Amino acid sequence: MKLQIKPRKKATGIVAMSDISFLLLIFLITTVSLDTDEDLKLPSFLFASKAGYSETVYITVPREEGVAIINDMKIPERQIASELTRLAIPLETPVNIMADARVDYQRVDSLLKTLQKKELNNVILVVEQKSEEP
Amino acid sequence: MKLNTGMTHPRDFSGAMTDISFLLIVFFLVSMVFIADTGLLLSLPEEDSVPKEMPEEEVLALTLNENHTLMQGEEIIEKENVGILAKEMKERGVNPVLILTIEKGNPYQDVLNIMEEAKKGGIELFSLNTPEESPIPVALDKENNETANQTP
Repeated sequence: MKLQIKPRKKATGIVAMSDISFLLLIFLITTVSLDTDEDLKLPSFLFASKAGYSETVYITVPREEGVAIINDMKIPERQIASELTRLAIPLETPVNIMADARVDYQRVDSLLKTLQKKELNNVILVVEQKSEEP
Repeated sequence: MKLNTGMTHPRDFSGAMTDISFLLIVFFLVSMVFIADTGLLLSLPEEDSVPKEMPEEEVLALTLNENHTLMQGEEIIEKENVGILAKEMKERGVNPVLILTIEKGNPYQDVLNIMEEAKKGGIELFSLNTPEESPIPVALDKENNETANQTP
């Protein structure tokens, strides 16, 4: 007598897959930051090093003249000093300067001088790591 | 008699849900940026620190003028040759210091390019100077490629 064995339904596989994909989604949503600074082109530098600090301040110098962005807040460039005073940043906090590669160096220089006056002497010039030339 | 209410079995949705979540994953993978900054670590000197005097033979003084031309005194030099100049000084047995005067209108990237060439030539000490104000001396640390202040 030939027995007919019905194969088991594999519906459970799809349920597990959706569980895994949702877990991945949650991981990505919580860890990812979307690239919104399309106008900002960071300069490249061969001898850059990793700058991983948990407590940092970000100052962006965009191409737009007369403005700066401190921790996502757009302010006039002349108000950087007063804004730094208002934020009461601890002196040992590293300050990340994200200046566009095309901006006049004088703008970066005046920002460095402002930070020096505020005794914020730990500065990171954020750059893109240039690949080694062949 | 069993009436058809139009409701579908919930099991029918699971496939679509997986599709949507995978589409979302693909979107996030394409658009995401992991926060991992690389940079030049500077340690600015104290504002009231006394400038250090350097022997003239140890100084490589260059000017990046308003026309984006790199000058050594009255002589025009190619940006790519900064490293060669530094190596020549090193062969003479001196540890060169680059004093770079940057005039108005020069892009930030150009300044970094010159620093990069100088670093290739073995220069670890830099002083970036804008004409009307006092220079900001910085030094690249040999081991970590970090910058440290050029203490007086």
